[in-house]
This record gives sequence, C-alpha cells and structure tokens, in this order.
Amino acid sequence: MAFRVSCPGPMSRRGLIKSTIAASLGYALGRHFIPAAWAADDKNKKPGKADEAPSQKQDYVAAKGMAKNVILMWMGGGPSHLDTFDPKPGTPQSGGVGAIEAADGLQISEKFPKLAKQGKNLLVLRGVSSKEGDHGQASHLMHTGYREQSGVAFPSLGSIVCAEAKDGPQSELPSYVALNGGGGGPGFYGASYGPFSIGAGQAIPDLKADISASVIDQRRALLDGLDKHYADQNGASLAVEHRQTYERAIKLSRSPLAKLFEIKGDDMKKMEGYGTSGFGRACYTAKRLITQGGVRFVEIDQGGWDTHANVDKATRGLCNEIDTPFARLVEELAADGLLESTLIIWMGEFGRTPDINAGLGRDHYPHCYSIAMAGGGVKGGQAVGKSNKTGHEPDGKAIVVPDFFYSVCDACGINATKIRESADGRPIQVVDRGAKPVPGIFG
Amino acid sequence: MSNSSRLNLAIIALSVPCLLLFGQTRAAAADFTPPDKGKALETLKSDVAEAAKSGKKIDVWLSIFGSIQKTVLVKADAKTVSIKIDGNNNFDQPWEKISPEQIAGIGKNCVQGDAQRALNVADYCMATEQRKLADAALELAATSSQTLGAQLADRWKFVKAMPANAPAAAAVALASPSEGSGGSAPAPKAAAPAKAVVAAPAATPAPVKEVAAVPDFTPPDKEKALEALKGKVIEAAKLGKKIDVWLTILGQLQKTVLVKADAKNVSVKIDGDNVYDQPWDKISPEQIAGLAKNCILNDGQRGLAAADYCMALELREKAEAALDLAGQTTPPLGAQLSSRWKFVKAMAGGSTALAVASVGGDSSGSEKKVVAPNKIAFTPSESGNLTPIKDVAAAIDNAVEIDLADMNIKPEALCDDCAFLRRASLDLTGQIPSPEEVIKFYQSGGGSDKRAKKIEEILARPDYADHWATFWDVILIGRRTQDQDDVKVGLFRSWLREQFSKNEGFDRIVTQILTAQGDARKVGPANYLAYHLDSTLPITMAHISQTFLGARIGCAQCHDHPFDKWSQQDFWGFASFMANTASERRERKEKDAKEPTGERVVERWRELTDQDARNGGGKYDPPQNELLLPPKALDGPVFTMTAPAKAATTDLGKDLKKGGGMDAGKGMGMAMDADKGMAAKKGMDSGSDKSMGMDKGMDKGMAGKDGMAGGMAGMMGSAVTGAGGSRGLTYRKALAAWITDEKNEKFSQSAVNRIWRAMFGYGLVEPVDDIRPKNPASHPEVMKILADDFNASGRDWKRLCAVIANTKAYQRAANGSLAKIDRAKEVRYAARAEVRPMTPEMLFTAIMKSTGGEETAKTLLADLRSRDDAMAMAGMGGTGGMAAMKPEVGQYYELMRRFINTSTAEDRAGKLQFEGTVSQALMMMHDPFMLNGIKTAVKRFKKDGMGDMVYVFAATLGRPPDSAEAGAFGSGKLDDVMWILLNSAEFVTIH
Repeated sequence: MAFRVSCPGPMSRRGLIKSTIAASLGYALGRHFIPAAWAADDKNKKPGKADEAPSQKQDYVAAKGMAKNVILMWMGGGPSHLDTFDPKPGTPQSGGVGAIEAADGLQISEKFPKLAKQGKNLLVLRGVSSKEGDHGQASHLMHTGYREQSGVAFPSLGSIVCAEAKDGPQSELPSYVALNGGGGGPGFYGASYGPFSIGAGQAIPDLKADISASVIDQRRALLDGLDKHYADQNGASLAVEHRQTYERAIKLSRSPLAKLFEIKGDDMKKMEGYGTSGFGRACYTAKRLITQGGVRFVEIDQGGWDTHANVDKATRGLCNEIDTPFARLVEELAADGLLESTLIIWMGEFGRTPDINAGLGRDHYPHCYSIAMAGGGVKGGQAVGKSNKTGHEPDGKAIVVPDFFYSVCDACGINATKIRESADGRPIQVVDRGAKPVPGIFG
Repeated sequence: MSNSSRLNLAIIALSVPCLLLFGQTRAAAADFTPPDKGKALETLKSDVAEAAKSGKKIDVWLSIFGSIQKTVLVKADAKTVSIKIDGNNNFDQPWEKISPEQIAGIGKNCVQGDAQRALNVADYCMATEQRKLADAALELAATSSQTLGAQLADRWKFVKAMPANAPAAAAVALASPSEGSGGSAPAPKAAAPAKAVVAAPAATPAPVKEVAAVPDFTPPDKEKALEALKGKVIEAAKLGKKIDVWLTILGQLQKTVLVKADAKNVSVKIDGDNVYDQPWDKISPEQIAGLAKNCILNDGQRGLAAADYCMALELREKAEAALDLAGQTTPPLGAQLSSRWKFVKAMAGGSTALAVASVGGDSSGSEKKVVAPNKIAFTPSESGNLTPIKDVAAAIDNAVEIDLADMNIKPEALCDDCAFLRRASLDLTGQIPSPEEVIKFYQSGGGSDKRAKKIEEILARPDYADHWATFWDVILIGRRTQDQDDVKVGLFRSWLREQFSKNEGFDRIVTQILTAQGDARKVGPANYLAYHLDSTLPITMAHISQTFLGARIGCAQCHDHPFDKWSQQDFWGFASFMANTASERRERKEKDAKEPTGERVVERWRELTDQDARNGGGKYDPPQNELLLPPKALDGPVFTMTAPAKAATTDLGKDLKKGGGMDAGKGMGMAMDADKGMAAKKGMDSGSDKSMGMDKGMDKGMAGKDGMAGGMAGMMGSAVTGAGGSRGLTYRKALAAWITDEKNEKFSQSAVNRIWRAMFGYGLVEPVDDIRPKNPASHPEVMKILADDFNASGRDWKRLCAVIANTKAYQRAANGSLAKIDRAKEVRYAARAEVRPMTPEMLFTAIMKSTGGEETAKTLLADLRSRDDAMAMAGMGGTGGMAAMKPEVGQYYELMRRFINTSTAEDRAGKLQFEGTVSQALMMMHDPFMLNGIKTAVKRFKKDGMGDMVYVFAATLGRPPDSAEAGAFGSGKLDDVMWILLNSAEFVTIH
C-alpha cells in the first residue's frame, strides 16, 4: 500500500469481543477454519484448501488474499445483465444491443467501449442466481450474503471487510465510506463498522466548529462521564456505540486526511480522465481515499437501474456515465501496481427480464444475472459461469450469492467460516454456512 | 391448581411409561392417536399415486445424488416415486431412500386442495414425530376445508402436545437409545422391563397420596447432578463406541459424534473431521440429557446419573426415558430404580414448575422460580360495548406475566415518572416533554391513575396526529421530502395527518388508500398507489400484503414461497385485484418559443385510473408467467365479475385461455371450486358489507344455485350495477373490503404488531411484516387481546395507543445491567424496556424544543405542517404556495433532512431503527444551528429566571440531575452543560 497511517490506540470493545469469542466458545480452530492469508505460517504451503469439500474441482485455485481494499460499485435498482455484462447479440432478447470483444472469449455490451479496453483485467460472473425479486430483500441479500432473517441484523460487505480485516483501521478516516449513497448497515458488528456516507467530492460538513478544540475537549470530558454512567446503567449496546461514534467523529475532525474527501482546485485537473459525472467523481475520490487515506472499503452508489420502461435508452445513459470512470480507475490502479491489492466489484440487487416488456423495459429478474469484478487477484479476461442463449437461465451450475461472498472474503484474506455473535448471542458465520468459493475466479 | 386436576395429571403420568414403548410419549395428552409409521406411509403413498395421476404439475423436492433438487412428480406407486429432473430425465426414487421430511414435503405438495390428503400427511408427520411439518399439514387441511371439525381439532391437540423444538432429535433419541443395541431387536427386549416398571407404581393403592407424600428419593442439586453426569459422559467417551450427540451449533441442531469430554468441554465431530469443542455451559439441559442418555450404553449407574440430572433439571420425560434404559441393565438396580420411579411419577404433568410445587420445592434453592400469576377474568370488548382501557391493559399484563413466568423471567419494576413521561411523549407524539411539564409531573403526587391521566392528556395533543402521520408516511411511501411527479408527499402527509387528527378508523384509512381514484395532486390518498404502481404491479401487491397483512408474498411472484404457503397462483390471483388499475403519467405543456417543438412541459403528474376490461388499456401485462388468474384473496375467496353474469364468465374463460394456455373449463373449475366458494361465503359476509357499503346483493348471490360463481357474481354484480364503477375500481373495493374485514385476522394483527414495535422496539412478531404460523408472536395471547380489541373498537388507533401505553409492560424500567444475552431476551419479551434510538424526526424536533422552547417548537411544527399544505397546493417544483412560505421554514426543513440523511437506516420494512452516524455526531457537536440554538436557549433560561441546572436537565433529558451530576456540572457554564446534555447518549435515545 502506498500510504498508511498507523493508529494503534487502545483495544476497542469490539476488538476485545472479536478476540475473545473464539476462546470463550471454545471453537477448535483447525486448519479448515483458517484460510491461507490468515495464518502466516500457512502462507507458503498450498493455500489452505487441503480439506476443501470433495465437490470442489481439483483445479480450484485459491485466492491469495491480497486484496487490502475493496471498491464496491453498487448499481441500485438492478442492472440489466443483457445490457451490461451478459449481452446476447442477435437474439430477440438483446433489444438490438450489440457486444464488444473485451478479451479473448469475453464479450461485454457495446455500451461499455472504454471498459472493454480494460478487458484483460475484467472478470464477469454470469448465471448468478437468487430468489429475491424485491428491491429491499434482494439488496439485503446482495449486501450481506444472507437472506433477511428474523431477529438478526446482518452486516453488509463493507462492514464485514472492515471488521474482519486483521490489521484493523489504517487511519482516523472511517474504514468504510459510502459515496453518493447510504451504503449498507453494520449489522451486529455495531455502529463503529457502519458506513460514513457523503457525496463524492464534497467537503465533510461540520468538520470544524465555531468553538475552540480545547473547549470541546473540556466538555467532552464531562460528556464522557455522563455517557459512561448511562451505558453502565442500561447495559445497552446503543449507549456504548454512541460514545464510540463520538470518539471517531472527533478524531476525524482533527485529521489532516479529512481533506481527501474534497475535490477542488488542482484536483479537477487530476481527475480529468474520470469524466465529470457523479460516478466519475466518486471513482476518483475512492481511489484517493484508499491509496492516500487508509480507507479500506468504498461503496459507490449509482442508482437508476430500475428500468421498467425504455431500458435501452436508460441503460445507454447509465453505462455511458460509468464507462469512462470505471475504465480509468482500473487503468490507473493497474499502472500504479495497486490493482492486485484493490478488489473492484460491480453489482446490483438482481438482473432484469431478458424479454422486453410492453413499455420497452425490463422487470426484476433474480434468476440469472451478472456481477463484474476486477483486481484483488481475480483472473481477468474471462467469464466465470454462463447463462443460456437468451439470458433466462444459468447454463450449468448457477453461482449463488453466499458462494460469491465466500470468494470475496477469500480475496480479502478473511476467514469466511469464522463465527460471530449476533446481538442476541446467536452464532453467525461470516458467510452463510454451506457456502463454497466459486471456482475459477482466481488464478 | 385444584386437587382434582392434579389427580388427573397424576393418572396421565402413570400411563406414560407404557406408551413410551411405542415412542409416543405425548399421545396421552390428546384424544387422538396417529396410525403407526408404516400405515401412515402406506396411506400417504396411495395419496401421492392418486395425485400423480391427476396430471397437475406437482413439485417435489428430493435429495438426489446428494443435493436437494426441485423436481416434478411423474408417477408414484408402492415402491418408487418417479420424477422428472430438469429436462426430460425421468428418475425413479425408491420410497425408502427418501427422508421422512421429504416424504412429508411430497405429501404436502400432493394435497392439491384435498383436505383428507392433508390430514393423511399430518398423520404421517405425527407418526414420524415431525412436529413442524405436521403443523403445516394441518394448516393446509384447515385451509382446504372448513368442515373438518373434530378430525382437525383432535389432531391439533395432539400436535400441540408433541415436543416443540427437538424435531428429529427427540424422535431419534427415543427410537434408538444406543448404537450398540442394533437393528430392530430392542423392541421386544425392551418390553419386559418397561412393563415391570409400570407395574410398580400401579400396585400402589392410592396414587394421589403418593403425589402429595414426600418421596423417599431426593435428586441431587443441579450442580452436583451435572458433575456426576459429566463424569459418566467422560467415562463413556473413553469406551470407544460411536455415540451420537445432538447439539445446537451455529444456531442449528446437528447430529454429531462424541469424541471426548472433560470437565469443561464436550468435543464432537461434525460431518467430516472437524472436531468442535462445545463448553458444557453452552449446551441446553435438554441436549445434555440427550447426550447423557446416549452415553448410558447399557450401564445402570450411567442410567441413574442421567436420570438424576433430568430430575434435578425437572426434565420429567427425559428422566423417564433414562430410567427406562437403566431398568434394562443388569444386574437389576432394585430400590435405586424404584425410588426414582416414584419420584418421577410425582413430577406430575409436563410442567416443570408444577413438578417442583408438588414435590415440595427445588432442593437446590439456588434459583427462585418466577411464580406465574393466576389468569385474571377479562371480558373482551364488543362492538358498541368497549371494555375499559385499564382492564384491557391489565389483561395484557396478565398474559405477559404468565408467559414470562413460563420462561422463568422476572419482569423489571416500573420506570420512574420522568422516564415514563419522556418515553410516552416520544412514542405517542414524537416529542420530548417541556421542562415545565417535567417538573410539574415530577413534583406532583397523584394517585394510581396519575400515568393513565397523563396518557390521555398526551394523546389529546395535536402532535399525536403529526407523529402517526409521519410514521405511516415513512412506511407507505418512505422518507421523501420533495414532491416528485410520481408522488405529492406534502399532500399525502397532510391527508394522513387529517385522518389521525379526526381519529378515523384505521380500516377506513386503508380503504381510502386502496380505493382512491384520480389526480394525485388533488386526491391525497391516491398517492400511495400512484407511487407504487409506477413500479410494477407485483411490487405493489407485495407491498400491500406486507404492509397491511404482514404477509410476505413477494417471492411467490416467481416461484412458490420457500418458507410460507404462498404459491405462484396465490400471488397472481391476489395481484389480479389491481391489474386493471394504473398510475398514468400526465403532463401539461405550454407554448415556448425557445423549445424546438415550440412547447415545453410545465407540469407532470399522475392519475390513478381504472380500466373496464383486462387488457383493455390496462397498464399491466404479466411479463413472466402469464398466470392470468381471476382475483383471489390470499386464503380467501375468488372474485368473479358477472355483470351480466354470462358475459363476464366468458371473458374470464377467454382470459385464462389466452393467458396461461389453460383451457377455460379447467381454469374456471379451479376458480369456482365449490368448497372454497362456501368457505368464502363464511369469510365474506358481514364485515365487508359494513365497511364497504356493498349491498345485500352479495348475500343473495350466495344463495344462488350456481354455487360460488353465482354467489360472487351476485356480490360483484351488485357493486358494479349499483355503483356504476369500473371493473378495476370494483376489484379494488373488493380487495379493500377483504383486507379490512374483521374476520381477516392478519389485518388487525399486522396493525397491532406495528404499533407494538413502535412502542417497544420489537414487534410481537419479528420481522414486523412476516406474520405466519411458523413465526409466532412472542406473546400470542397479547396479540389476540389487542387485535380483538382493535376490531371491536372500529379500528381505533388512538385507543390502541392508549391501551398499550397503560400496560405495565410498556412502563417498565430500562436500566439495570445484565449479561447481553439475558438482556436481549428480556427486552424481546417485554420484561424490560429497550433503549431505542429516536427517529431522526424525533431528534430534530427534540433539539428544536429543548433549545427554542415550547412556543418556538410549536411554531416550527405548525410551519412544517403548513409547508406540507403549501406543497400540496403548489404545482410541480414547489412554486406557488411555497413562495409564500417564510424562508426559515425551508431552512428548518433542510435541517431535518440532514438529520434523516445522517442517520443509518438499520433495516427496511418501515422499522424505525436508526443509528446516528459520525456525520450526525459532527453535526450535533459543531453545526452553527446547534451552537446558536444553545446560546439562545441559555439567554432565554436566564431571562426567565430559570437558569438553574434543574431546568436545563429537564429541558433536555426530561429529568432533574441526580446529586452526582449536580455536583459535577454545578460549576459549569450553562451553555457548556446544555451542549453536553444534547450530545449525550441519553438525549438521543428513548429509554
């Protein structure tokens, strides 16, 4: 990594919980529970998949766990796979949309001309399939890897990556930043691992006050006593989290890195290659935050994909908006040698119906859709998984969401089978039980 | 408990051991005995064979080649089930290769509306001790026919008496005591000792006295029993035999194999070679008992140790099972065994608390049992004769306390007056109390009705309507602050506010929302559908069912619901109610020389319109599966449109044919199923009549000779001809009538659940929009009392608020430190108040009120209200009426938006759970609006001569400072103190 600010600090409550859970529950952390990047002395051996389930192909190549950072491009509303990464030229379902060769054997929609040039770094998962056709429930699944369940607040991917990272926060900036959208919730990890949400390129509002830092410090000393008393008295995690949130807000307000959020002056020139769209600003900011600010996970929200009408026109506009910055980001990270350590994920909550409806739109379609990835050690220039001729069905084995999450964890060196505890003490695995990594992603 | 009932229980207890022999320990509790496994299976097989012949597509989930697959049934016979896997591969699966769960699943899918088949499935499930599946099958039977009477009731009774949460485990444990006994041999072997055992107590002349007498055996206390048992398990583990252990690991019950045990842990192997250490203290007593039992392995002393543990933990049945096994060992145990049997007999009934009482108390004495209160007499409200609110509240408390005692949870004491006032003010009106009110309420003495009176006073405030309008606005449309062309938020909110302000019946509110027509800029309630129908029909219908019925039918759009009973047919049938309604875009253009066309759009809006004929201009054309079904309520009647009857029937037939490739006759057959029709009649009469104003034509129609077709036609026909409405509107009215019908329990349950969640932090059912038999309420009785009262009161939302606020359950304290896990359970079951985050709207208003004072807050809220009204009047873009607004109102609105945007929505589905973010913390500490507000407030306090600490605390935290706080803050400047208090965790939470 280019730039890291170390921030040892006292061990947080969450940290304590994390380190003690395994011990207190007495889990036998055998080899199976520790992926390659987790146990240092395992690193040189064949990555810790020796006891992988027999159903895994022999040629499965495990991730190197190299991804330190993740940029999630969240396509809210559900992007049409046929108009993006799974084109079906010449079929009635295509709606007349053509395809471009992005790499040998990898075709993507003609709506991504610039991204196609980065094809060698691009991996497309096709035939991804879920059962959630409602925006909310599907967003939950795609953000957390779990279906919504009674009584459990599951953490989103950003929170998982930040909370499970073995080297903790890298600076006083928030580990998880959501640009142009709300991001996903921290679930049972608690507010400390929730997203810091802000418009891309904006200065952080209220960073400074009209009162001096010393006055604020005096007040905070008293506040701290009051809050502590309240938290002790009520034993509710809410009160504890409130204190931690304030702690982080103060650190942020005093950090020289906070200015990395704001695009102004010279920055405009530097970000020329990213275009002027909101998504472009976000990609530029994301790159800056992870390379210079010690931010670990950036989620960029690009809504508007709920194209029930006029899907061709709508997706042309959307693709046009993201094509340039997406391509530029991959290009720059590759040039800086940072693509290996940065995993880029492009996805929405589901795909859209291959058949075009009466309003020339496409409706929700969770049965078969696509996810695009780049960097983080994924093997670019290929598609993993397939859909059938018309994009209606996965061709062969469908890729299920928990498996995808398992692979993302692998890429980040996170132990997907580690056990966490929900608010009411229920043990929950980082990735849903039974998940297996998707073969073919790494190599 | 009276002596006579105790006697009954004792007698039942005596009959248990012989039944144990057949693995049906609970059979004695009901009048029904399921057939044995073999017979039940044979019946089920023939049902499946018959269903397969019907030619209908029946899905079957089977484990084939190690993975579970969805297949289609082709045929079945006594030996095999033939199915089709994707493509055309037929596959024959022998019955004996299919697991009991999957057999039950096949049976369930073959029911196809035949109640007898459903009962047969249930019988099979009972015979194989699959309680949950038996539950589901009975439910299906109940929906298939309403005339099953005792056949159903007896089975329900039996199922209820089955072990609740140890589905396969209990059955397995009972059926195969140890790996070593091998094959089918144990049955005859077991017979003799078990009979002997029964003989012993039966020979005692007076069992009643036995119960009362102190048995000559006393089990050791829990800790000792556990220690002894651990020793035996450790010993057994060393034997090297394969011992099965059922453990809950990762929240799932798993069958594992014992590897070793020590004083701290039990090490087990899960599938494969992963060894897993489970600490003893994480294993439930039931599972420990099961483990101990499997460790008996024909050793008498191990059997006794297991039994002792079970007795100490009051697990009567498990103790019996252990003794039963101990009795089969040699050498005979003699008095060691018989004294224990005697004790076990005395543990009357299944209830653990009861056993303790009858035996004379828990000898360990380490943990006091919570004693359940007696059930109090309660007369539920009837329409026109409502039970006093305090009595309903008392009945709820009684039910809650009985449930809590059952869980051995002691409810927390009531919170103090200040906490009560702040909590109730926030929950009922979204506002914190004023400092004056706090001080007055704190100082006033007051009788037992002090809080009841306060609740009445709070509910009479205009803020009440503001709060609940916002609450529903967020659920129905979401936190939108700007008008857009698809929805006029201002108008919708004003309209909602008006409804709550005049305390319109909640059913009327919902009905208006579902049946509004016309221009969304002018018709407030039209905005809900105008907004949702802009997405697709399925999404709208999923939202309607989740919001008003607590039924998640969304996934049934594309496939049969995986966890619930909804099929795709249910979904599309339900969706058809709205298929002739559209949210249409409209726009108005004006001449504009600058535009290429010479015109520009100056206004866009939506109109909610209804069509007369399906596909006759209707927006919606089912895109995926084309199940063009007639409107059918969930679990309810099919509606047909026959005005005149003949024409519509033909229409419908055509539609069906066109849509699904079904032939008309078949389609109609399904829709008009006579049985269902009659069931529908029952469900539909009085309620819809009353609430929808539909005339009596419906009842008349019901009597029609054409059975259902005539019946529904009569009803729908009268509505059409009478009101002259379009088909689309008629369907919507029928939908609203069915949803809000008093007999439609889910409507009132869903409303009750949402309000409970808003006031407790947890719904009686969670998730709040997922009410179904397999996801029961935390307090089922409370749900019933509230829902019934809500119905009887004419869906009086305010009364519902009052009832809940008056319960002790609502008024409990939040404080007291506790282990996380206990705390979570206590708040979930309303034994203790939860600390909840304020909604952003509450937080914003609270800041305004504590800094600006009562009057400023009042003005502000009035301004925000008038902004809504102005928005409602203004056209697109918020001009016109908006221009007349004071500029600061717009600023305040922006500010409130920032609070909303800087809160993290914890989840969806209208749950008001928010967590402040770092951004919000920065805003609270640094924003000029806060700092200036504090300055103004301090000046005001000083001017009012109330610049003391008490006042500042009351204005923010709603309570006076305690002595420690008064000391710590005493020397501080008021603006420092106020800043600190506003930024405290206590301020931003409801507690």
